Amino acid sequence: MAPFPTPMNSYQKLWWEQARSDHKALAVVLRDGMAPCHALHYLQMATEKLAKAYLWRSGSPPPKSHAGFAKFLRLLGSTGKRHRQRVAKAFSFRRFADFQNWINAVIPIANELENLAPSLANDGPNPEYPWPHSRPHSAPVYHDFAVWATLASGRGRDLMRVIHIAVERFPEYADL
Amino acid sequence: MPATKFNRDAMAQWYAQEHLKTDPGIVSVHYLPHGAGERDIRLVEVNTLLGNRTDDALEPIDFGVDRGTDSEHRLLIVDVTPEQWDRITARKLSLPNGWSLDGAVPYPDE
Repeated sequence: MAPFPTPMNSYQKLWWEQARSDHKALAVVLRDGMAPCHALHYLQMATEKLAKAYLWRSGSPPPKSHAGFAKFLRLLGSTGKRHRQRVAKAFSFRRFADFQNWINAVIPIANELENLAPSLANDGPNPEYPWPHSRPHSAPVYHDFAVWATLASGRGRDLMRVIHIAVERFPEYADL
Repeated sequence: MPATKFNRDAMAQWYAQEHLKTDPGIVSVHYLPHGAGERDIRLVEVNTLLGNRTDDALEPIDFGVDRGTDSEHRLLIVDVTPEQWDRITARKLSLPNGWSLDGAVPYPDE
């Protein structure tokens, strides 16, 4: 049972459930050793939807842009004093300061993940479509994504682990 | 699943040495073969760049590797802080279910 179960609105619940499903697909893709583009695709989608689930807490729609995960982390990193311990605990950190330090360390990876979305990839490497659009010469399935090497490192694995925790424990901090 | 051309111990050693060489925060890697599937490589990697954590984060990331080839295997990695590793070796913190320190192989050699 979550220690701080909180209500979330119906919009948040829909976006959270979709993020959870995308994240489960990511686990299958990782376990099956499929081409990294597929893992990156699901990771990008899960994080984008998790961020949107959070941003829906106001009841107003967030921007349709694919950007949002880095913003989501920054928003949580600036949580007011009253709720800091709750956020730290939800994300598996003992102290809120440790959580803030962790965010600073992983924000560059979060930005790289966001920029994988085809609409943000400037007609270049992305995990979904061959590029460039007009005369494609590369396909995601053959591409060696630099961010994948980062995600497979200790810090990247830690980010993936915290994303898993963030998805599963969303109800604990959805209202903050 | 292919039955030949896979040396789990040698592959684990290669992963451990590569990660120690390329990942600045990793100070030791512990290969835990006891109880693992024939093609499962379980590693605990001790990382000084991880922030102080609760024990909830002690969960393996499961990567499938070389699927459909003779060397197909699963790489399962748990990343821990030095403090968590100390508690694991003192039997005060549990490894993931089914993992064991029996027969653990440390890298670099202790």
